[in-house]
Amino acid sequence: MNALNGWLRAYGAAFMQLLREPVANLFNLMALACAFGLGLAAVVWLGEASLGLTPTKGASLSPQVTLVLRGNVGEAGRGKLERSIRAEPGVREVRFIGRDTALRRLAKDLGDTRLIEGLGGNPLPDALAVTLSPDVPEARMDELLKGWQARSEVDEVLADRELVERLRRIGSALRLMAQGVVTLLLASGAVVVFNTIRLQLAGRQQEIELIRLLGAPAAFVRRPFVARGSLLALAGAGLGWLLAEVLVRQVAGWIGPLATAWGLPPPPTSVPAESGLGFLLVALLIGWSTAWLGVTRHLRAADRR
Amino acid sequence: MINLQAVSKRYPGGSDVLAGVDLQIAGGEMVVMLGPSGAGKSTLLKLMGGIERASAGTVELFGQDTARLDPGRLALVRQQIGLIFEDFKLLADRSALDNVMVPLEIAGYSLAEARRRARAALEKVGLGAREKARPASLSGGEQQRLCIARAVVSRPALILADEPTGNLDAGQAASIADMLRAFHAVGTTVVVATHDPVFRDRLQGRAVHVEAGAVRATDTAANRKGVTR
Repeated sequence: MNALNGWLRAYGAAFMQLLREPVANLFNLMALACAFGLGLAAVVWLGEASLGLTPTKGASLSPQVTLVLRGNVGEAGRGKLERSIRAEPGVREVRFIGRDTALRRLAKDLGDTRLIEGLGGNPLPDALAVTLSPDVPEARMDELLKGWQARSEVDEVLADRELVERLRRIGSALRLMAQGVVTLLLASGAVVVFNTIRLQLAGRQQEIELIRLLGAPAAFVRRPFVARGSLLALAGAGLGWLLAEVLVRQVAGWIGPLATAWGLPPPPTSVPAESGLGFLLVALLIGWSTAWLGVTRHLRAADRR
Repeated sequence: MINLQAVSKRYPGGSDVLAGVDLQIAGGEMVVMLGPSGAGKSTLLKLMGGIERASAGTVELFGQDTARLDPGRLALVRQQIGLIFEDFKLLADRSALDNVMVPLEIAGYSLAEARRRARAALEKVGLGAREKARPASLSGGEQQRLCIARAVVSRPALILADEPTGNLDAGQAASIADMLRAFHAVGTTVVVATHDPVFRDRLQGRAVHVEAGAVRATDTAANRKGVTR
């Protein structure tokens, strides 16, 4: 209860100090808002959207497999095959494309029906278009393809593996890049908090020495600085959220029409609340732990002296 | 309460400040350490308060060897000690009341209780009307009384005072001596370092003569006339 009261008092004092020294804190808050805001925007753009290339938003990374059926497979056999494939783990969707539908599409794509009419019949087979889950591992995909190829109803298995793998690698690279950028930005936020606390410690050196003489344990000395650091980081992240919201909206306005024209999913138009709240929590932890580390180092150095 | 056995203290790169000091102080005693500047009185007080560590020998405080205490336990021991400094060591950006509340906050008192006790301590040293004043606006005597209020507010078992009248005139020094005697009268152990024989006479405690880093002699108020200084 005493400790809780102490923490409440420390946070109250830290809050008042933020209000009392608006100019001194403004630069720190601006630096933190930039670091955390850009980090949050990076998470929203690259981590969540990746211009439609991530598995969560679009189907672009979902491998497509076409099973060309043998001519002697009847409707009952096809239905059985379709059901058994749909039940396989890793399969997201199974769609039947009848030979007539396939011919109509071909004619439409060619734009000239004379060639089709000249064939004198429909040479195309029935097929099943199978969409796999975007996260299906390569080994599982191999297993599925081999299994389908071995089935008597299936004449040929056509998979767009190379393109899917390439897109998948691009998506992974983008995510990795996003993670790197976010890590760097969060680290720069931590540096800002650490330096602010270090300056505070230097300015209150005599006070710290005195209260330690009076019997203050390390936890008591740490408390106001940890409260200050975490509150500063939280306020910076709050402003950063606003900044990220503005950036995401602006960028959506610029590239939204372009994405639509290319048939890609639209870019995010705002920061999802769960991302923003998660970022606030991360910033709070960064501020808390960085300040804790700064004061602990300072006290250990003082003890050694 | 305090037991020093063969205690020596040497600062890095310096000579021995204390050498082979043996000294025992019982609970409830009033002890006045006398000696010229640089004799080692302040270092002795710092060792007694667990502020410094001895280079050799043992320092026992409340029955515990201070060298064996971890920082957390040492902090708890320090909470039982009231420290009075020659230079007051007050927090300049806080009011008199807030300064006196510091030891109570450390001890974990609620804000309301800490305020109540701090006000009572300020009343006791005659600063009840100055609770909102910053230390810089107080006179030297008032600052020392504020320092005393902070030292006694948590009712410590031991008061260590280092040259408490160093910056004060004779009248203020007499008032400080009376206060220390009042705390001693209610059972608090008081150890004072001073080079002022008048102040020592007013305190009327056991005198410990410190010279060149060693305890030369101890005497009481009753027999001090027979001691060679």
